[in-house]
Order: sequence, then structure tokens, then C-alpha cells
Amino acid sequence: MLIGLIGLLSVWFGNGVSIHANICSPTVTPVIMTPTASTTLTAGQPTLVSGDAQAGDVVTISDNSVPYATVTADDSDNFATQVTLTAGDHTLGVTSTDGCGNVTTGAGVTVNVKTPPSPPSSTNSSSAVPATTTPAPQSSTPPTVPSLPLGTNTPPATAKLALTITKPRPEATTTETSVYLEGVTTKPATETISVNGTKVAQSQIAQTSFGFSVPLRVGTNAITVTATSGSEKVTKSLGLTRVAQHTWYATTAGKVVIGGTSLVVVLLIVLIIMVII
Amino acid sequence: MKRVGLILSIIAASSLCLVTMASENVHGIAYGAGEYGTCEYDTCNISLTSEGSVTLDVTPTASTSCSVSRDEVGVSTASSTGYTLSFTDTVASATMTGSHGGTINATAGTTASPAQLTANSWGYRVDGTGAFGNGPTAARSNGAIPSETYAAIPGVNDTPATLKSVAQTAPSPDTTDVWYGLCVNTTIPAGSYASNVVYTAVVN
Repeated sequence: MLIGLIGLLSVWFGNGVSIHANICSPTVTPVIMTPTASTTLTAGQPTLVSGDAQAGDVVTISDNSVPYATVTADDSDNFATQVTLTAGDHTLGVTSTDGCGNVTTGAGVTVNVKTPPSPPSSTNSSSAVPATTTPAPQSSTPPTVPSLPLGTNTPPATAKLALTITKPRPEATTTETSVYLEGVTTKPATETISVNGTKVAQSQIAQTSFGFSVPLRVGTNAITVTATSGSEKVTKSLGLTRVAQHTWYATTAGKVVIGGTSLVVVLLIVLIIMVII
Repeated sequence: MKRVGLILSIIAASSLCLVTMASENVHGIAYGAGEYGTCEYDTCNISLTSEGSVTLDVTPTASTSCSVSRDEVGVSTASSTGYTLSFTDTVASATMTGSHGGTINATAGTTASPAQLTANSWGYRVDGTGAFGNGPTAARSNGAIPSETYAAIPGVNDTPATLKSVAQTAPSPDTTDVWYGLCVNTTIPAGSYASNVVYTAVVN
């Protein structure tokens, strides 16, 4: 039987191809909603930068024309990240890149960053901290306060809780059995992850960034992330469809080929049985 | 002694039996030769390769924008009777669903009667096969509706569409260009759309 199966596998099999279509909209220009122009910010304090862009677009925030942070616009066409700036004037720029590679540049927002009245003693020369994993060199304005690493510092109490899912990008389908989910919040928060209404993970410590491996079932997976900080609660959703992995297979049409070597194997088995008897 | 003699007799008889069986095999057909049906010994292997993925990026316009990409499918077989290459989608309907809503339907054209693509549809074609015509088809991005005709990919429960059938050996990969075309206008939501197809190569 095994020999027959091997024979079949050598005769027929199939293979698959995935056809991906990225439908892109070049007309959606990203817009920074906060902070607004001429806002005065405090040096060294994380500041929420949020706005609108085409869902799924990769949004790059720049500081004085230097790329600073990259986020993905969510299904509601929103993006949000944090920046920590040094004293001086800063122009925050925004560009978005869609799935087809089209780059659209939005209007910049110029803000004035002032040194806090009573800065802590500092010898740190770092000027800013990236909000995501795509840091870039920052402006040369000398810092007056230590940098505050994202996820370990305490943002201003006035910051509103916002949640951004940075990975994965919304995709129609995946063949993976799980997906690594990453995101950031504008203030320390705990996150609860659920898939199709069933809780699959929860953070134990309030932080401003999170990452979870989320199992996926074949079919539609509605992933919901709920961030909670005190009385504030924000929920974002992400839809992923997992399709079954296509593997090589054999069809059975009745042709079996048994090689000459198989006869030797059969004879050896017969000999061994006869000797034992 | 008698027991030893009995065992030796059994072994001798077994050896004779094996020699007889082996002799019958050798006399009946030479080792490494022979034929089962139309498939000669050791010539029925077949292999199939493809690009694995095809990308169709489109930036739609109100008047419809189209992109065309190719998948090169290669089949190798030592069978003197050749092979038949076919394919189907992996779901019942070849409709693409977007990550942010929206659908792109399969073209109304069929393999027997392919048709030009229309807005918000997609399909395949193989130059020189069946009713598709000779082409040649060329890859393009964000162009006008192609003049070539396309057909819908059969659903997983439908009869597979034959892409190629040859009646001779293909010792080195015999390639077939399968073209995929997609046209959309601005009524289709932006996002990622996908579909999966499965090729099957069968020795004739």
C-alpha cells in the first residue's frame, strides 16, 4: 500500500498561486489634526500627534524634515503616535504611502517647544525618542532635559488616551496560524486582546506599548484591542482572514507504478518470515 | 541434528523459491524497464512550478484603470504522452474581497467565451489557448481596459479550466504564461484584495 502511494505521489500533484491586488487611492492627503499650528509644547514631554489618512496607508511623521516615526492608519482612517521634542521651533510633517507605493505629502504643522520651568538636572545629549521601531536622527537643537523613553515614562496627565495598532497591516487574507500584534498608546494602559469575541491575551502591566502573539482560526478573525487607563477606555479593531495553507497533493486516478527495487524488499520480508518459522 | 537439518531444508527451499521468483521477474521483463498503461517505467514523474504570487496594483480612476501581471507556470515530465495543466480557484467563487470592504467580481467571460474586462472585474487569459486568441499579452499598470479577452477562473467546485495540454515529453520545464488582469474604478474601496488558485498537472 505504501509503495503504491509513493507511486501515486510521483505521478500527479498541484501547486497554488496567490493573486494580490492592492487598490490604492491617491487622492487622500494625510492631515495632522493634533497638535495644531502654533501650539506651544513642553520640551522632553511626549506629545500626541494624530490625524487622518487613508486606512492601511503607512504614515511617516517627520520632525524638521527628518523622518521620526512610522504608523499605519487604522480602519477608521486615523493615525496616532507620540513625539518628544527638544526646545525650539519644530515643523511636524506627514507623508503617507499606500500599498501601491504612492506617496502623498500633507501639510506640515509648526509648533513651538519651550523648556519646562524647572527642568531636572541632565547630562543626556539625546534630543528625542522615536515612537516606533523606525527611529531616525533628530534635529540638532541642544536638549535641556533628558530623553524619556517611550513606554517607561509618564506622559502629561492631560494627554488623552489614544490607541494605535502598528502591526500587522490590515490584509485581506493570511495563511499564518498566528499574527504578532503591536501597538502604542498615548499613556500607560493595560490591553485586552480578543478574537471573534473571545479573550486571548491581556497585559499585566500598564505601559505605552504592547505586543502579543494572537492565534488565528481559518476564516474571519475580528481582532479587538481594548486599552484601559484609569477611567479611560479605547477600543480598536482589525480584521484578518486566514485561509488554509495549500499543500502538495495527489489525486487518485488509478495508475500505480511499483519499482523493481520493491520486489527485492518483498522477497527479503518473505525470507525473514520463513527463517523465523 | 534433525532440527538443524530441517531448518537447512527450509532455507534451501526458500532460496529456490526466491530464485524462481526472481527468475520469473528477469525473464518476464528487464529490471528498470516495463510499462504500466501508457506510463513507462520510471517516466511518470511530473513537477510543477509557479511564481507563487502575482501582484496587481491599481490606482483607480473614474474611467477605470487596469493592471495586468503574469504567472509563469512550468511543468516537467518524462512521460512520452505529455501532460495536461489545469487550474481552479480555491473557493466557490473567484470574487475578491477587500480588506476594507468592497468586492471585485470575476469577469463575465468564460474559458469557452472570453470577454473584455469591464470595470471592477478580473480574470485570466492564456495566449493561444482555446478562444483567447494569440495576443501577445503584455504586463501593464494603471492602463486602459485591455483589448485582449479574459475569462473567469472556475470555482473550486467547477470543472477546472485547461490551460495547456501537450502530447510529448517535457524533460525541461515547459512554461505557460498565465496572465491575470484586473480593472477597477473609484467606486471600489481602497485596500488589499486577494484570491488563490491551484494549478494541477496530470500525466496524460
